Amino acid sequence: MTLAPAPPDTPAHEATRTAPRRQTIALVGNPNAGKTTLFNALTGLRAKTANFPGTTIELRVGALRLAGESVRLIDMPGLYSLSAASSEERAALDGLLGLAPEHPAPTALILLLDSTNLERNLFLASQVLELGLPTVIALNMVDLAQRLGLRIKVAELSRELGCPVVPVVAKTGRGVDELRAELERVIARRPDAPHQPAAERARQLDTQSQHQRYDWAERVVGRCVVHPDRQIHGRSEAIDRVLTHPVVGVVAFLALMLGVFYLIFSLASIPMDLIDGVFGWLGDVAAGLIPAGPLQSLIVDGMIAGVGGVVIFLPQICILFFLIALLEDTGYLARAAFVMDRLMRRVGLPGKAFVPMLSAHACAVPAIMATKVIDDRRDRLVTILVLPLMTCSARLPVYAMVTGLLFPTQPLLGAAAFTGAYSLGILAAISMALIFKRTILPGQARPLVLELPSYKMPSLKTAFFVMLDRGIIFLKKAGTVILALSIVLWWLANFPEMQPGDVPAGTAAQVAALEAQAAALETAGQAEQAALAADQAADLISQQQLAHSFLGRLGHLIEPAVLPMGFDWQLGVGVLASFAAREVVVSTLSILYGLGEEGAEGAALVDQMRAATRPDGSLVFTLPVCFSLLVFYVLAMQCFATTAIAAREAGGWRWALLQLGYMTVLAYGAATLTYQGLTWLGAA
Amino acid sequence: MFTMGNRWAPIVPIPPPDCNPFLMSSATLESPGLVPLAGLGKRARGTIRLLEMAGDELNRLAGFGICMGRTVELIKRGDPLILRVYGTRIGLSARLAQCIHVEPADGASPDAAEPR
Ligand SMILES: Nc1nc2c(ncn2[C@@H]2O[C@H](COP(=O)(O)OP(=O)(O)OP(=O)(O)O)[C@@H](O)[C@H]2O)c(=O)[nH]1
Ligand SMILES: [Mg+2]
Repeated sequence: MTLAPAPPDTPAHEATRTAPRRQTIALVGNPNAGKTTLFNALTGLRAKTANFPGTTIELRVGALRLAGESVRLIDMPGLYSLSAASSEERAALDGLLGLAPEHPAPTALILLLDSTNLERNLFLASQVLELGLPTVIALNMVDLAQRLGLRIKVAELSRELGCPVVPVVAKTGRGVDELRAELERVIARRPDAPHQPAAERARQLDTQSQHQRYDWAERVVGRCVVHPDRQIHGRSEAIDRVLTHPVVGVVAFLALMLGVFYLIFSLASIPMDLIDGVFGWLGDVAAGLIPAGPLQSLIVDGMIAGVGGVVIFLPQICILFFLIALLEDTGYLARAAFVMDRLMRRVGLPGKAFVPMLSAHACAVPAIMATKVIDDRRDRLVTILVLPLMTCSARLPVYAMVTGLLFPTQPLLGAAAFTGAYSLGILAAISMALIFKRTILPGQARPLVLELPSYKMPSLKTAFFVMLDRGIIFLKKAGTVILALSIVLWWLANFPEMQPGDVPAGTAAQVAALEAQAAALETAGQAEQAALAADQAADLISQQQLAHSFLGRLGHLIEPAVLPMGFDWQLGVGVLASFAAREVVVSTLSILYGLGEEGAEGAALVDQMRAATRPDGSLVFTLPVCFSLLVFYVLAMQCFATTAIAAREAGGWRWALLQLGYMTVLAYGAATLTYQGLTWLGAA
Repeated sequence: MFTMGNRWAPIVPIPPPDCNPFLMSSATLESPGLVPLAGLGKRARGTIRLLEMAGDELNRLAGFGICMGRTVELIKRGDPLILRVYGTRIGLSARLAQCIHVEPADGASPDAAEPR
């Protein structure tokens, strides 16, 4: 068997030289070897990197200028070998072999080797080099190898492997210029299609000889690497003894999440007040510039209040993404997956599902796409079905609003409620997975094999850019979908206009009495109390207008349906309006309660809501209502984008509708149970 | 580097993911001195001599360095357990570890009987 790689510089055919093809260089290497980091360093792009094997799930193309020529660079998911072909690796394999439909076959390769783990990386290398494509080897993470006391003889390694080897530190950019120079040399040779297509050669790879490949890798390492007298692997292991403990590990995971939410709360309050102030000021300025009337109301009560009600949560979303990105970059996620595996497998979820389940905490749409890495169809379907129960960032404004109502001055309790909501989502997902396993999707999940990467110091820069990108996405949504819906809702809440004859007699009498009282107080010199009475009268009128509007009528129509959950009709409208995008409930409530409370001009949304009363004078947002609202939004689907992507990825609307149905029923039932239970406890 | 005795050579593909307990015990009987990976003592090293699983599972594990003739170290017992394979640590389901048989390295006594 030939383990020695084919000579990388097979002379190009003269015939094909006339029409120079655009060169395509693919990045190949083990998962987590730093391919995407190098891709970013070479192209200046910002593709996602994290200290987790399996961060990149799709091929990504970037452009690179080499010797005045524009070259296509493809970043690929990591591969452990060319034979495994689990679907996680299949995309990379197809890209490598030129079988991916949208991507041309690579004309050259950058083979990335993690220098801290050469033996295993050389296993893949032995297979990749046999494909016969022109290859430059990037020996990555030499900084870490140095710290471990490894000395790698680069020239020796280059001779063994038969191609140029460039030591690099992708993270800092060290050695990237040398790598470019080496690539230019390869490009200059105009490599063209090898005599035998790569796909053909891959088919001939001898999979029976795996142990011989490792024998070879060990021999090469024995010749090219000088190990230190004493192995150092203390720190990661010491940390792992705690974090992978079956009990302590789970507790640590929960504590970590609690810490994250505590930080979200405590750090976000100042910028949130600032944003609130800015929108309040904007409203005042607009009110000053535009004469009172429908236009002023549209801009101040509709657009500014609606968008401001959502944008105020920007700091919390930024902090969430920043902290999660930091956490991902430490290498902790693999440990969390490890401690959760046992529990997950028991309910029929594969270990691999943990990655999408974690990314679903940011957004369910990319998470559902990430289930591509799960090869078993049953495993994949279950994962897709339960994924949207994870708390995504769009739920954050809703959680923040409700916890703000419940615990305005106790950030620790707020963080606890947050953690509770997150846990409820996870728990619901686990239970539903179990139910699916017992009913429509029986079977066993595939057993876990997962690399636990060494802990690394997280990169603040990476986290900052993740935060920036996600913040921009959030603002874009606020400026488009939420603005449009705010305008529609404002219109529905204000039309048809109420005529004097439309006011019910009882209310009219109440208003008249209040106005008379105000006049009397005014003449008696008690201006403050007079203003209060006048405000109450105005409130009554605007509430009446709201009830008279299209939205009010719709709300009253559905009120009986939401009553068991303790919702009033405004909340019912909020649920309905946020059917396609859950965070819309916040802007809807900003508009609804903002309109209903003339006196509360300028106060923050939560304060307006906290003061909101039902017609009988009792507060709307009591403890049972708040918790019921929270539970509802933890469990309800309320996201059209997710439904659409689920239909696509699960292969049919059947599954997406099943998902929408079960989640809605679950949310409704659990919220009702919460409200009724808490009310009963409160009464008892 | 590793001398392969003929008796380790045949790898009978058995449907994944669970290995057949009867087959497993017979295989262990035929090859004295082998213990299932999960039965290694903590921190003990052993050389992989027998993998009882289907081809695609074999290929998957090989990519991680869990392959015939490799010496691995059991870092943490339990389910899943942690192995050191070359420079990396691999979390591995105990179900798979049951189907991997190792020859304990010198000095490391197999303690499969030790209660967990
Ligand atoms: N110390 C050090 N860390 C690095 C280096 N290159 C990459 N990293 C870190 O290694 C981790 C993995 O990097 P990625 O670029 O996401 O790896 P990848 O190969 O694309 O991983 P997958 O997409 O999962 O296959 C990140 O935390 C990087 O910051 C390096 O040269 N030195
Ligand atoms: Mg990547």
